[in-house]
Formats: sequence, C-alpha cells, structure tokens
Amino acid sequence: MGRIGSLTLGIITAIGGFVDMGELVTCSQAGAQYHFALLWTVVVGVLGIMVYAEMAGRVAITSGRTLIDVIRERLGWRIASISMVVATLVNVLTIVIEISGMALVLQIVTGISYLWWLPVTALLIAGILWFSSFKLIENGASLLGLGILIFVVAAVKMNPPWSEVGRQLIIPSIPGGTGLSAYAFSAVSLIGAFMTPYEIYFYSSGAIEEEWTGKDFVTNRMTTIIGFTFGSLIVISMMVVAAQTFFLHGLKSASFGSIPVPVVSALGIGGLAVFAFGAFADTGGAALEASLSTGYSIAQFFGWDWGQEHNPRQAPAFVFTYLVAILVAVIIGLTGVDPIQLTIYTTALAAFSLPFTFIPLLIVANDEVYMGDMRNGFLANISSGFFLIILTIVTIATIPLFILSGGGGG
Amino acid sequence: MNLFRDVMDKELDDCDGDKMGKVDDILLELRPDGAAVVRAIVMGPGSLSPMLPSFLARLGRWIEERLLGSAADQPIEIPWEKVMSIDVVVKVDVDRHQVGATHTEEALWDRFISPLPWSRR
Repeated sequence: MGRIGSLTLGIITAIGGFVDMGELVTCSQAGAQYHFALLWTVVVGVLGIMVYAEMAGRVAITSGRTLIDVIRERLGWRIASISMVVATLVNVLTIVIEISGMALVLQIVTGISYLWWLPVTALLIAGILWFSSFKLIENGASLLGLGILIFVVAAVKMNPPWSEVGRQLIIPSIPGGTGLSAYAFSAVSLIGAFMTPYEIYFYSSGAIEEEWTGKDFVTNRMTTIIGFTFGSLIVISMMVVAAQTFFLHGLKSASFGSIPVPVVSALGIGGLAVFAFGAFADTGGAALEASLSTGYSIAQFFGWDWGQEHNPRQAPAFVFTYLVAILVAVIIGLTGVDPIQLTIYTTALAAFSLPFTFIPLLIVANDEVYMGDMRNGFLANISSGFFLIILTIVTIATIPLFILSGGGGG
Repeated sequence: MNLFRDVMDKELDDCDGDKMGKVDDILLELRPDGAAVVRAIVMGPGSLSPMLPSFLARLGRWIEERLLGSAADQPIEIPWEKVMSIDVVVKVDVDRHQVGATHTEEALWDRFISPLPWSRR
C-alpha cells in the first residue's frame, strides 16, 4: 500500500476506532441529563488526546522505543512502575466494560442476558488476539466500527439548533437546578472517556509494531489531527441526539438499551441494525486494544519479548499477560457489577490516572538526548502544559467529586 | 560515561540481538585504594526485590513461586567485560538462555501457554 493509502487507512481507522464503551455511555447520559451543557468537554478531551497521542507517536518514531521503555530509561524503574501499575489497573477495568459492551449489544439483538454472552465475547477477544496479526486487529475492528457514524446521520436528520451546539462546544455552561458536583463528575468521566490511557500505550507500541520511521512523522500528525477531529464529530452527535431525544422529553438514559433509542427514533429499525454492528465492532476493537496495551506495558517494563507479530512461543510472557487480563476482566464482569455504573467509574479513574502517563511522556518529549530536533517545540509544550494543568485539577478533584456527587448520581 | 543515564534501565540484548531483560542495577566494587570499579550488570527476576518495600518483595516472591513453580534465589550478574556496546540498547556477549535470563518466559510457556490449542503453530 502506498503512503497516501496507508495515511488514508490510518485516518479512517482513527475515526472508526474513536468510539468505545466509555463514549457510548457517558455521551448518552451527558446529553440526556445536561442537554448541550457538557459539549465543551469534547473540545478539551479531543484536543488533549490529539496532543498527547501525537507526542507518543513522535517519541516512538524518533527513539525507536515505546512509551514505557523511554519512561523507564529516562526516569527510572520506580516512576515507570507507577505508570505501568496504574495503566494496568485502568486497562483491566476497560476490558471489563468493553467486553460487557459487546455482550450488551448481543443482548439487544438476541434478548438473552448479557451475562451469558460475557464469556463468549471474552473468548472471542482472546481468540482474535491469539490468531490475528497487528494490522488485522488495528484496521479490521476500526473499519467495521465505522457503522457508529450512524449517530452523525441521526444528528443531521434531527436538525438540532446547530448554532447553540456550536456555542456550547466553546463556552462551558452549567444548567440551572443542577447539582454542581454531579455535573463536574460527569465532566470528569467524559474527559476520561475521550482520553483513555490504553489509547496512548496502544498508539506508542503500534508505531513500533508497524515499524514507523522518520517518513511517518506526517502520518503520525495527520492521523491524530484529522482522525480525532472527525472522531469528535461522532461523539458530539451522540451527545446531541441524546439531548434532543431524552432531555427535551424529561427522560433519562439509564441503561445500555437506551443508547440507540435516538438513532431508532430518527432512522427506524435499520438504524438500530447499523448501531448494533458498529457498537459491537467498536467495543470489540477497544477490548482488543486494551488487552494488548496491558501486555505491552508489562512486557516492556520487564524487557520481555513482545509484539503481535510474534507467535505465542516467541513471546509467551506477553501472551500470558493479556490472557490473564481478559480472564480477570471476565471474572469481574460475571460478578454482576452494573456495566453502566462501572463504565462511569472507569472513565473517571482513567481521567484520574492520566497524569501518571502524561507527565513522564511530556518530560521525555522534551529530552534533547532522546528526541534531538524532534523534541517538543514551543507550541507543543504550551498546549500539552495547558491540558496537563486541566488533567491535574481533574485528578485532584475526582475522588472528592465522586464522594460529593454520591458516586456520580447527583 | 554516565552510568545512570547511559546504562541503567536500558534494554539488554544478548549476543544474538535477542531481548533478555532490563539493566535493573549495576554492581560496583570498592577497591582497597578507594576507587570504585564497575563489576557487573544486575538483571532478571529478583533483581528489583531488594529495592522494594518488604511486603511488596514478599508478595512478588509469592506470586513468582505460584506462577513459575520456583522463585529466583539470586539475580543474574553479567560481568562488565561482557558488555559489547552501549547505545539505544546495551548489548552483551552472553546467550540469554545459558545465563537463565529467559527463566520467566520459559516457565510461563511450559506451564500455561504451550498446553493451549494451536500454541505451536
């Protein structure tokens, strides 16, 4: 495939892979509960993930090393172990919610409880990882996940007040009569949904798996900027259609089954079929990426052989790690923990954990020895510093907000 | 050379260029004249344990024994003379299998991964 072809594919997969269980749940609930008042979090979250994903890709291309490798090499094993442990915790919870998301889609389609489907979806994820190449995993799920663009079609069909949507994207507002702590906790969960640690570890390791070189700086930048920008249109649409369907009629979006209701009301049963296909592929893709990210970060910390291009004999510890992560995830899921509540908590925890990954990444991206001419410039440092300040505030505020809002319930 | 910046925590590759772990520590020898000389690179299971809080070290050893069947008594020491090059990775003139650097990966393969279907494809 030529360079333009691979760039196009990278952008398309970035769009298709942008949505996962975190976005499906938090955007639907945010639109239903706060109308357009949390749209501004999309701008913060998407710009933030754009800046840091680009940085992780640039570090990988320049140094030929993954994120955990460079964090350990430049900042020592103690700091690297904190990043690795925190990321692993969030990754495992992410696997729980993503395989639950797949199972919930199957519940909608078949009427059989998602708990019966949970072991099936976990086995499917393990099987795909066991047999598939990196490229197939990265591109396959994301291309199939483009079905989730159905939310954009539904939003256009509903024709909401676009000027108001545009205004609320830029200017944060708090609707009257709303508990501030619950509103703030929802904002934290949304930011955590848009900026999940597994995405950064997957992106960094993916650059090495795909053997990116200096010629791929443009691919890296274009994929993050264009792919994530278009990806943000999907999540904006998800929030807008939920706002128009639920909020305006005084309804709540409390279950997974209510997420596609706006699509069905705008586009009929055909819309539901496309939603189910896209949501299954998107949550499946995220489960694959979160599982791999668990294997990547642990294997890279200890210096084991790793990579999806290796067969199990060549990288047994890497394979063992992601299989155990999936096993632990399915056990947690089978306890009957509410997957919707767990998604809210996981995305909030993801937001809480981000500085443990982003601060070391920012330090390494400024390291002249490692990065040479490709180290962060003024603009990259200003923008990443700005988002880091926001994320640090989020990290400090997450736990008090969780308590004050009664677990996000208000 | 700055040992901490240029050697510590870097990837360690064996004589065939295969990954064998990380440089977990560096062993120095204090000579009678007061000069310190680098004796060895310390790596492998058990090398980080002495630097962990005791409860974490015990937990790590417990997990290692349960998973691998046995825990490494001593970390692996690779004589400094075996260092071939220091660059993005540290390359040493030893075979990773012979020095026991692949103990964890081999044990996980034997006990958990090889019994799975299609593992030897």
